[in-house]
Amino acid sequence: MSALNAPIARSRVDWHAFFRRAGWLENAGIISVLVITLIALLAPWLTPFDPGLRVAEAYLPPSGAHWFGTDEIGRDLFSRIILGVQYTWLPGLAVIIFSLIVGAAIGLIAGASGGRVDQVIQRLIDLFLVLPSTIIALAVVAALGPGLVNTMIAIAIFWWPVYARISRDEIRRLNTRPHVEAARIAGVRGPRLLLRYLLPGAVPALLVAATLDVASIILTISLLSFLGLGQPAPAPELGAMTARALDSLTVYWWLPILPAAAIFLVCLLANLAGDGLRAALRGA
Amino acid sequence: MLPYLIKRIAGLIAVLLVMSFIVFCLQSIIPADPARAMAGPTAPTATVAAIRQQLGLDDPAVVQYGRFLSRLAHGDLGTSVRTRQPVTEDVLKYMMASLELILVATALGLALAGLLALMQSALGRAGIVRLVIVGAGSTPIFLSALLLVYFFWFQLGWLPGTGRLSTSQFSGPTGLYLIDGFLAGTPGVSLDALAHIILPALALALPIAVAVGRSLSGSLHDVMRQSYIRTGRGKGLSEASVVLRHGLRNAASAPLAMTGLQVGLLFGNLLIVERIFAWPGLGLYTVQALASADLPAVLGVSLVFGAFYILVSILVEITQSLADPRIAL
Repeated sequence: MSALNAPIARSRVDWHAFFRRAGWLENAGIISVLVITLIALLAPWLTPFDPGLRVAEAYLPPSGAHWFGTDEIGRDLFSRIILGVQYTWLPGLAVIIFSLIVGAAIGLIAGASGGRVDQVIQRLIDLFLVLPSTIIALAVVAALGPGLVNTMIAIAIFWWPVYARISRDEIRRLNTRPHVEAARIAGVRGPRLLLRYLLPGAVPALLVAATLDVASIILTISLLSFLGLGQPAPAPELGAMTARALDSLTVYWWLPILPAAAIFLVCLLANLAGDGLRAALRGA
Repeated sequence: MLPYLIKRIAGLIAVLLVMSFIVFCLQSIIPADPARAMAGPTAPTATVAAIRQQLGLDDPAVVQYGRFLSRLAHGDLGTSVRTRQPVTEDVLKYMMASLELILVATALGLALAGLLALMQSALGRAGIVRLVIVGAGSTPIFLSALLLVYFFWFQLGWLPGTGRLSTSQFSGPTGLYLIDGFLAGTPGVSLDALAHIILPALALALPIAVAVGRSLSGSLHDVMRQSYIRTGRGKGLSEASVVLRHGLRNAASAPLAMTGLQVGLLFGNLLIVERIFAWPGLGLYTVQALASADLPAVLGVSLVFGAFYILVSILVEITQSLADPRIAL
């Protein structure tokens, strides 16, 4: 990890070696994740039909014209799933990034200050990690009222401690390393020491953990969405689409199955990318 | 061992207290004024104030929380808006169905986990087994549940896909239909219950199997390279005895902890599986409560789930220290 740990060396990442260390499957995962992000960002321009309008007869099975068939009011399911990827992927990323920033910051404070502050923050992290998070997230959204933003808040509340723990442990480990000692002796302190000499060393571990967590967060968001705690009806959230079409499983199987399969695909690619990143960074 | 356990249990009770505090806070988020709701929209302000006083809504938050805790201690979880029954009564009515499902799912999950660990040690860590594990970890629970229903119930017709029994006229002494059928002298009912429980239990068991299987295979891999395993083989013990008595017992701790964690995380999945299989348990009750914004029921059930989670954690602690006495030190 030395190449990525050294903040002074202006490390250039050797991309060739990076992709060689991860297997081909994982590389495919990493590239697919970039593609999914692009699809999610550009979703409104990528849909072959207007996802909000009736464009054909209702309940058409998958065909050349409508790849995933049409739903109960004749909307194109493929277009709705493309937009659903946006409603699933971007909130997932947002929750990860938010938890990562908050967690890293709190871990940094705990790890760098040590002593009593560290003790208190550690106990707080312990507490959050043992609470049954799904149940409480469910109760929180139920009390705040359904909606995508409330779902994201409820999940983020329970996700930052994971990164706070990782960041804290990494900072403690780095604190005694020669380059940090040297910086300290040279008179570097305060935010500059934290951000320039300590934080960069914790980044690889945090990044790997976060990439591997994207799928779990998307699964949790979809679970709450399935339970009707996401955006209200016309919004094409993948979990909610499956839930609304449950009763048509035996007649129009594509309606509940395909949105769920889209979640599966997105999570699978995210997991492969996470494995790839871990393999690549471990070897570095 | 005892002081260690007492310390752990005290910690877990603290967690339950924190949960009850969160639920208490969530309760007071509700924008509607309960006193106004009871008095009706046309009641004079004085009446509303009287009811507020009567309900203790004017007391400081600490006093209200204390009262909330004492009601909890007496088993009062409030009244459901939807069923107009005390939440405690509803919970007792639906609890056994969920418990039966959880027990069977956990047993099935552990069996599958053992199978997975065995496969991994036979086939190595690379390739297909790893892909299966990553794939299972990426599957939303409703996808696996729907596929099970679609193929095994709708397409093949091998197993029933809804409810607990084919008849609705049955009630047994324990509420666990798998046992009740035999107790009532009608083993047919038990077999019917078994057929009904397989698909939902399998859907719930898959995530447990993958997580525990991974952990088991990892720790078994490490343990089997220890010198005492070589000693055991050297003194002529049978391979089964080496693996089961010396290998598995020493490798059990991490997978046990993972089992506890997974059973604790089961509840989100329980809601979905009970919804899809129309399983009349606490999960389905919660889904219906969520759909009708029945906050007292949702919060009450959350607390019950939380308590169950704590109970499972305690059981895991005890089993862990039985399997590995070093943990108690």
